[in-house]
Amino acid sequence: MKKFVKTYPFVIVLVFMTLVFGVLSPTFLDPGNLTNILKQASLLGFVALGMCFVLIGGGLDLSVGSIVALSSVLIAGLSATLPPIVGIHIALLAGILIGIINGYFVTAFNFQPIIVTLSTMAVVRGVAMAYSNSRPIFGTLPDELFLLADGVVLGLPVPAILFFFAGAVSIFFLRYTDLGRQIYQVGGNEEAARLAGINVARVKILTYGISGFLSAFAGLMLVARMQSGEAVRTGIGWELDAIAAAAIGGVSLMGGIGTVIGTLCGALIIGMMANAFNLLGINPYWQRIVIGIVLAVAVASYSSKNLRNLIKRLSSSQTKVNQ
Amino acid sequence: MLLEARRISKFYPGVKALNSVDFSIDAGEVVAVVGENGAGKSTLMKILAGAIEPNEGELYLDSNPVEFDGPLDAQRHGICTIYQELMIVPELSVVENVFLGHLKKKGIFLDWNTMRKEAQGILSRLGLTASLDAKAGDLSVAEQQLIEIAKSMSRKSRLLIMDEPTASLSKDEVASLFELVHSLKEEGIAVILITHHLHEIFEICDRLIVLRDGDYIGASDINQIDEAGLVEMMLGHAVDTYDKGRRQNVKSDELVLKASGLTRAPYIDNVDLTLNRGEVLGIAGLMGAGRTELMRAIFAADKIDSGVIEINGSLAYLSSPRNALNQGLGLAPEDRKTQGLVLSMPIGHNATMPSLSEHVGLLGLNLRKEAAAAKDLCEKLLVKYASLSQPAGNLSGGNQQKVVLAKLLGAGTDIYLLDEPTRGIDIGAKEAIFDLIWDLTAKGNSVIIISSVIEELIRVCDRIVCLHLGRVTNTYERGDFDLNRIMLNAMGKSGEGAIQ
Repeated sequence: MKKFVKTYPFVIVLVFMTLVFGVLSPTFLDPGNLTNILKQASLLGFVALGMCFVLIGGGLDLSVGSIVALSSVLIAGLSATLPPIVGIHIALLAGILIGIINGYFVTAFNFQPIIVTLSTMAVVRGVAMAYSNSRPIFGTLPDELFLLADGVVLGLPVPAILFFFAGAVSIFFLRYTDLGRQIYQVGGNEEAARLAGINVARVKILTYGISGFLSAFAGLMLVARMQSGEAVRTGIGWELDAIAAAAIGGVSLMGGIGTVIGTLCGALIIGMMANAFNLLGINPYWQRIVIGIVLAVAVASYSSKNLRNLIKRLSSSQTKVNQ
Repeated sequence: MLLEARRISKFYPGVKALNSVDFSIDAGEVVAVVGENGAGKSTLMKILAGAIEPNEGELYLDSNPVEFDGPLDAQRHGICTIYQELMIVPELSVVENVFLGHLKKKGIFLDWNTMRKEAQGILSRLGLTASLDAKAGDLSVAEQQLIEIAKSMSRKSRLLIMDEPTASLSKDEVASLFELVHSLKEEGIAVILITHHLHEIFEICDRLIVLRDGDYIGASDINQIDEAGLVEMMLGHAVDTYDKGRRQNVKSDELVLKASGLTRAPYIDNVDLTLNRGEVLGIAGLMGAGRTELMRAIFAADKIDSGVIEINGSLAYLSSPRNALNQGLGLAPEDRKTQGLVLSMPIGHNATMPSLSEHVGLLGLNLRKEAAAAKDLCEKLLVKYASLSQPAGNLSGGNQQKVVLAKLLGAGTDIYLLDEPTRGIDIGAKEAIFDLIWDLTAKGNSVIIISSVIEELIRVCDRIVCLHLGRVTNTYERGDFDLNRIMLNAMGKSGEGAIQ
């Protein structure tokens, strides 16, 4: 039990938050509301999952929000002339391609990931805006597509099912494939990985490619929900939310450390807060403030020995008082 | 009594790092802390330096109880540490590193003139010739270590803790370091020394204490103990292995590796090298002689300008370390922390790093099989660990080195390139590594080994190549080994018998 708490502190936070919000708001624990949270959190969840791969591999991807936007306008826009399934494939391939470009520049020229992806973030956003003329595109989308957002299978919303499925595949990939293990090795110590015969460039490009794909997939889910694509506001700030979700879930921004479960919980924590604040009628700016604080506390509790010592000291003085 | 520690204990999950250890040191005294890897030396030093808190026990400074609130607080009390793992900021210049954390100011401005003058003074006392403006990261490990020493000298410290300061220094550098320790002593500064070189203890220390597996074994004045007695205290039993001879010659006539004209400017220049099956080839040379670069060139870790490598008689076009590994080469790099291991990853995952693909089945990685293989490798190399899932960064330096070697063993290497495998390793572990080398060659593998300690090469090698400024100055066959001549050749002085 102690080990579980130590490995997965975010699970405790998640359970704790559920209880607190459940007490504060009578409707929070309604099955309808909980499904709603899952639906909302799953969008960020896909992007955060991609970010988790990139971060573990020692990189950073700021272009995710722009990829979500590009994917959404491509899917909506291409549906006017092409069958939707073709448009969807093009959008997903575009996401993968952007990721590969990110990875290529990071590995081939040894550029800083933050600069490379900052550039693609701007370029991709610009392309999406140019393609859509900065206006929402409604396109001719089939009703089946909306089932991706609103469908229910076995009592679970389809987005949540897809979200958990992506999570399960990622867990398997990171834990049970040598390529997955290599992501940790490259992120933990690139030179040691190289000397152990690992193709560092391939591994890094793979992580950016996964991130691009999952972001484009989030764009697809967004189109399914909004029934339109939009390039100006879509996905703004998602890169930071995704990093926040991963960091809350214990993924190290230094690379080499992190879990899928943590990232998924991080995304759920952020989604849950948004929902609960909404229900409680709290002004949205508070939400940003609280997310900021939660992030700071989470990261501090993972990395700071001093903070842990402080907590230890506080709790031991507590016990002394009790005696 | 300058600093005294009473009944210090420190526990980690599953490991008892220190168990009720006493320690004391006077002003102007040089005390050695001796023990095998994992004996608790580094833990004790970290406690004295305020880097970690003990679970039990008290510290007394000038006979007053004291509790350090972190290493900075200990430094303010005059206790400075030079850790085994260098704390250099590679992007900063030499002088900036020397004054890291206590830059001198004149008014609100930094006083570079004074700092440069002081740094120059300290560095020339230490015998470091690098420019003050050189980037610290561009210097060799030995030079970086001298900067570390300079760093603590520039603070007004009363107690200097040196954790393996000589591990990567040449003979001359060690000699000047010891001169320095003598003058510190005369100024009343106390020095704690951790070293695996026993002769250094007898050369420079006044007193020693011995730890074993976290327990306090005993203390002795230096003139009341001899080397054999000390080793017996360290290991808990008398050793005959200490002067054990060498195993029989298993070198065959079959050529396994031939390098011709290897060049990578400015490090190595037209180096030819051969290695036979079952042979142990030593490379002797000073820091900066191109030893490491030669190894990395053979392993294809760096791109070379020109030269060819033949493996088992056929040309090998090595383009990457993966390529080299597939051809049966394996490199244990010079710096295990930055090149050998992923410190954040479990020990087991580190051990199987180059051989992971062997454990991939139809359903992905077979974690149980992998863990069994990792356990087997770590046990073969006598790695001391609490659990294979512990991060490699938690291991002591010597045990980390063993994990690096375990990696090569698991990769099915037959040509081992070992760059300073015995650096920072105690006698027991060193013997284990020598035994391993002989064991490997007896099984038909071949080894190239770099060591700064030429005596070690003489003990373990069939042949020694002397390298100076990137060129081979001479080669000695076993039987012609002569410490002084090898040393001279390594220093670039082609003495008697050198091929002109």
